Amino acid sequence: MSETVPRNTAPSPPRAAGEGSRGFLEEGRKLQRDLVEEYYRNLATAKERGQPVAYMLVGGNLTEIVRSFGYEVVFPEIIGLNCAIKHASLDNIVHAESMGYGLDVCGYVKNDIGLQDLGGSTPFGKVPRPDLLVCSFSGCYIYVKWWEALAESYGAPMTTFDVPYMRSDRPWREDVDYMVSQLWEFVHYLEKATDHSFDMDALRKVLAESRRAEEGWVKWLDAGRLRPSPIEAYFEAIFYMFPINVLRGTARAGDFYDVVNAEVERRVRDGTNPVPEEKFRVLVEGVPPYTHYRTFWDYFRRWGAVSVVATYPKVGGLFDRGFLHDPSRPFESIAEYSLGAYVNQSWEQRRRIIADYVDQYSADAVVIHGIKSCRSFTAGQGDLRDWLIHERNVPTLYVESDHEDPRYFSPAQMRNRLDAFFEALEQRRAAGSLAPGAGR
Amino acid sequence: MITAGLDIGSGLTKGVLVEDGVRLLPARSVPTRGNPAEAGRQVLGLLVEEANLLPGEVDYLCTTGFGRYTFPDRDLQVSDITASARGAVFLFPGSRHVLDVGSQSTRAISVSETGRVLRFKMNERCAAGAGRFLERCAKYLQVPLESLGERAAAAEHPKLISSVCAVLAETEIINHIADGVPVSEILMGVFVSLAQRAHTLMRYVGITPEVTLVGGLVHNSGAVTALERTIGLRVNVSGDAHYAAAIGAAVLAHRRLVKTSIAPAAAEA
Amino acid sequence: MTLTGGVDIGSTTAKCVLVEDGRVVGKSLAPVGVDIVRDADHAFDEALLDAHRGREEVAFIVGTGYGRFKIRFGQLVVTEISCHARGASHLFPGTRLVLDIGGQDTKVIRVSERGEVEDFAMNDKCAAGTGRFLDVCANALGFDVAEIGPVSLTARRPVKVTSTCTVFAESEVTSHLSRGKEPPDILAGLHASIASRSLSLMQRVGVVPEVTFTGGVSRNEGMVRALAQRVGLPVNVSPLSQFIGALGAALLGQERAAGAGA
Repeated sequence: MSETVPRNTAPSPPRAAGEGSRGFLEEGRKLQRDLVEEYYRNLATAKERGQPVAYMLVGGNLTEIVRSFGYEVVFPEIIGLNCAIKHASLDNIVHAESMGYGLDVCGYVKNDIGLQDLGGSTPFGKVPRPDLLVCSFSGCYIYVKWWEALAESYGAPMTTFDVPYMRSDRPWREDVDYMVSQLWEFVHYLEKATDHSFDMDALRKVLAESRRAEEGWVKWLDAGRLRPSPIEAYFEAIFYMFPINVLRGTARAGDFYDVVNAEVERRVRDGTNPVPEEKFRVLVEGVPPYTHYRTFWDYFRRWGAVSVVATYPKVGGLFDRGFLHDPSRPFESIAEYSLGAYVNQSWEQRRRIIADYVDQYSADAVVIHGIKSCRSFTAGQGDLRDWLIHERNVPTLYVESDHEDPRYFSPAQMRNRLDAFFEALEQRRAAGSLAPGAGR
Repeated sequence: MITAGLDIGSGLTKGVLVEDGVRLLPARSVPTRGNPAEAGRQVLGLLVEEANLLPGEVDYLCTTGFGRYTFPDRDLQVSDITASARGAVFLFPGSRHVLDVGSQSTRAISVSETGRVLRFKMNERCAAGAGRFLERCAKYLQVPLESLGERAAAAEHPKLISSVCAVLAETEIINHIADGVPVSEILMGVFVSLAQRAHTLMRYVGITPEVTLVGGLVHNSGAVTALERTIGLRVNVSGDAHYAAAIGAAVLAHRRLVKTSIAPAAAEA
Repeated sequence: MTLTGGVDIGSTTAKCVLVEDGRVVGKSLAPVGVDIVRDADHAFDEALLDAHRGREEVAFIVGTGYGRFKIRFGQLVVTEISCHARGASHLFPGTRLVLDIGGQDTKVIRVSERGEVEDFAMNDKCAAGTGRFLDVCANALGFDVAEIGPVSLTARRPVKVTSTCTVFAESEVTSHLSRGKEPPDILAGLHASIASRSLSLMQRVGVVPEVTFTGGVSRNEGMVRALAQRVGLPVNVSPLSQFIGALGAALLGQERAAGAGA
């Protein structure tokens, strides 16, 4: 696939990296921070308001249906990453280990189990106990076990979705029908549990809000195609994922993307970009090392490396590849969305998506960050690296640490690998064996 | 009755003699150097000489530790967990929780009033090597092993060691040195990190006072202080606790000897 | 006639090499302690002394190794990965794959015909099978680490060693001894198992001749032999193997100095 890269023609005034990056993050980040605070405040008071609480997983989540029944939604994975980013995950993990969870058990699981056993307090407030546990993504079997552990300790009911694995660009009819039948089953269950009857119009309204947010989010991510890119499609996107994953189905989410898209337009006009001079356009694959997230970002920034596209921000949904919610086809579009989540894609599909992104976003290189405690997402990334290098001729680096457990992040080693990788890219570019932004 | 306990470890072989199961006679150790049986013989020779005994005057001998099966002249062998627990209760009869930090592995053991093992938890494989790790730290930081605690005391902001593997933790320390972190803060960080890891194991088996520390770490005041602060309890420490497993082995040897020598008589009666 | 320097500050030693017109004119090796700034300075002075040259004559200095950011007198810092690639290609121009076994890490680097890094892989999160492992094993068997290579070559029935975890090295060795195995057979087994581990790392970037073996462990002839056998290819080893990082740094300095002069 080859297409003309739209040029970001605005002049970019030279500015110091620190100054540039500070100005760079200001507005959308502030709004995002407010939304996070508001969300946690709401969570802390949900029980007082008499609002039931559902726990859900991010991948292919069923927020819209649950919200249409009046539930507040908790995503323990997101609480986990928020804890990690605030350096609060290790205490929870160590507590879970003292309960008998082993060294290699998923960091999200240990953070959450430890947190719950310690009373549910986070740096952002208290997390309410679940009234319902929705295992919306069963592609990771550990997740099923995690939900079972929570169900047992809280005596809360648990419902598990069997989401067929994606092996083609579009879901098979049979798989969609199967998912739809499970969704109906779920709706009937919720009717009984909440004593409310299902309201299709309410669902359509929630879905319309979701659609608006999704389109805004896709537009924002699309800006990575510009050269230089006005957005950081990994490190910045990690913040901007919050509304699409947590507030989807509310007007707040759609409004947020309107704000950040206006911000992108301003950046293009003013030439405020993630780095003063874009030297390397990188695709990043994998869950970030949240515990050292800024340190890790810095290792890219100092080389003028910008992630113009990333797969991780798509774990909540591959909206840019057509898996959008549709108020006119409520259940079918929810089913397709769930099936199409990035984490639910077969390796052949994941490879194809990544190869397309490299072309569409004119990436020079790929950096894969594998996480020690998640085999479900990480297994196969070594083969992906080989495939990109040998079959697609894309320089690729594989590094490993953890998303939740700071003990697996070794700053000097990590920096050494990234420095060596960018040094080699620089050498190859100087020698003419790497065309700038040629993709492959 | 004189009984002997030999704790044949991968680094050191330690031995003690105990009289009538209650009185501690001399303790000695030699490096194992890849020859556990020979090291055991050497230690036994030293002990007998020190106590002015003839080799035949040792009534019963019990081995423990990694090399316990390699010593041919043993009457009994017991696991190091059983031996450490028993040794700790011998030294501090109020012990209900024993933390054993050896050169390769760390173990938390909860014990009954009679010194029986109730529950125990060992570090996971990759988290091994605490004791040896400290020796290496001393070398890299150019601080004598026995002064580590003293040097660490000045630290205000301990630099925690995150790597679980003891060998990669050394790399981390070298990087801290390269970053210009003061030696005292690195050292205190090492102690606090080790204490936190031990605490995880201890909580798993349940912490009931009194807590007794045994193994090589007892000589290290910095490690003891960090441990007491981390768990929020006072920790029993004595110089002899380095020999706890050997002592426990000798005490168990005495028990067995009493049982076997009384049992036939009882049967006759 | 440009004189450049390369300073490699590793985990235990500092190495410095001075290069003039592609030729090594001076070198030094010194231990590293807690005062890296001073040790780096010292290594540089020693190399100058070795070359009979003065500080002011050195046109460009490149620092490398884990302590590279502590070198106060250099103009550029480069990772040891780039330096090893460059140094190995200089000594053996046919080099396409570099294996470096150091004290605490093992790395493999695939290099282009021009000595550029094409791909690399390192041992991550596990220090099994590195130089330290051999040190501990040598110690446990009562040998000096310099002796174990030759001793391993006298083996008759090498034992099978499965674990190369450094922390458990002593137990591994002791358990073989207690089963009555001879030290040469144990050592041969240890070397073979490190060779296997190295090969699997090499396969990650692709095994292509020529293979150049660098780092402290490459001075161990038993290891060189075990590796060549396991890989099925001859292995280049240079007497300068410990200095390859510093040499590569000095050579990169030559390019920079030439670029700056142009």
